Amino acid sequence: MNRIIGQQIIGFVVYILAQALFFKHFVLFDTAYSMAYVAFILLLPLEISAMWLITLGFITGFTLDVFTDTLGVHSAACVLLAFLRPHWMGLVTPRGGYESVSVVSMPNMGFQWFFAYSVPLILVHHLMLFYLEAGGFQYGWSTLLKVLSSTLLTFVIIVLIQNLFYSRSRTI
Amino acid sequence: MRQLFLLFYRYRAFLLFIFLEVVSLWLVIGNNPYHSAAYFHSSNAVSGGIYNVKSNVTQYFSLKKVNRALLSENEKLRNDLYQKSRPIIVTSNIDSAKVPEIKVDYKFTAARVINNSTRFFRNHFTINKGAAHGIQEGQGVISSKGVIGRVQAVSDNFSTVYSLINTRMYVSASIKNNGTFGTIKWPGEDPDYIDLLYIPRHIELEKGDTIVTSGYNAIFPDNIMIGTVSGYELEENSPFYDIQVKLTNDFSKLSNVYVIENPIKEEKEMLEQQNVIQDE
Repeated sequence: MNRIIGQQIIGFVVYILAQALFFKHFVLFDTAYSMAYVAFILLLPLEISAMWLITLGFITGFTLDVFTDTLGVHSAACVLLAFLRPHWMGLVTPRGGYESVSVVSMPNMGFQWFFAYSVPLILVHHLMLFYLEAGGFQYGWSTLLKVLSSTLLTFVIIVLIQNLFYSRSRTI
Repeated sequence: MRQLFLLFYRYRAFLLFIFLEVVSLWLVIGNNPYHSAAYFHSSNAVSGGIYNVKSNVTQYFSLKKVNRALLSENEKLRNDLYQKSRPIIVTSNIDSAKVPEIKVDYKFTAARVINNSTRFFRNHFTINKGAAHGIQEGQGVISSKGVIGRVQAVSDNFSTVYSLINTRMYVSASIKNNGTFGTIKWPGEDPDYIDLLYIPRHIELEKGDTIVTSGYNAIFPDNIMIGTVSGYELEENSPFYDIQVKLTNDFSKLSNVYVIENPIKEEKEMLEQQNVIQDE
């Protein structure tokens, strides 16, 4: 148990630093932004309670807000993502249920399940994030384009990260 | 009562979710004292320190360009200095007509940008000077090419600055050749272009007109470069032009900047406030 907590704390620091120093600047065509740090919330262990999940979501979002000077924007999006995660997980059950798996990750659960699990959650997170950042709907269509292209880019990067750094049934 | 607690307990995740969302949205809206608190910005000691380390590494990659910019600035300053130091021909009774001078000593503090964003609607950057170097909230920030922002929050060694390309930032500006003044505001699209608002329709405009600060808001001295007019439209029923201004600064490549301190700012603002009260 202690080992898992230690791993998650290291994971948190790595994701926040990677986002603040690197992924923040990784923008394609001025529309696709990479928010790879949401992987931290998406890939938290299965047995974590809903309360802890939401709290960690808030802490993650708030820490990133401090780094990017967007007070509250990432927090709101991450809290929403963390709240929806267990509900959405109940709807997209993998073959054989969740009994046989301990760690949420693509190598463990297969690409199909991971796609169905993560893309809608990333989309909701990005909708909240970009519309809040824009301060409303006055830039509606260009914001929507940003949301859609960013969702795609974030998903691709999260898949790549998992292929590079995650091994089967272990985190980091 | 027990039932009520049980109910709360059952929906505790949902209640926590609602509570944290409300807290976040309250932080977004920003009518709160934390908005200018340095802990919650990239100017706090931890994130400022991390960005400083990163900037110490990455600044080497742009040394050549920075050197060139500093050289051309030196050249310009030398020219100005030379022109000022030439003796002015004194005519006869100039001494009797001596106008009492208003003493405005703007103080400039050099700083380096260590973190920057240009791709959001509300852009900020972080600089490596703070309260320990005399920087205060609300001071203007310029580069050698012109206006770039206003200080939002200050910690001991770092400051967070509202970028000029921030949809919440307004700067008083004027057209250099005829002195008409308006307001500069970023529409939130291209970081190279900004809008000039409230220029009345009877003013004659041309592409390429220079836009500078007006000096009315006491944050920036007057005649600091902002950009040049790149296009304008005049709708039939509108009292004002729609003017696009090409910025002289490239906001994605900010490095050396100056923070401006205006020692008589408070005096000026106090006087203006008093006048407002007397008018009523």
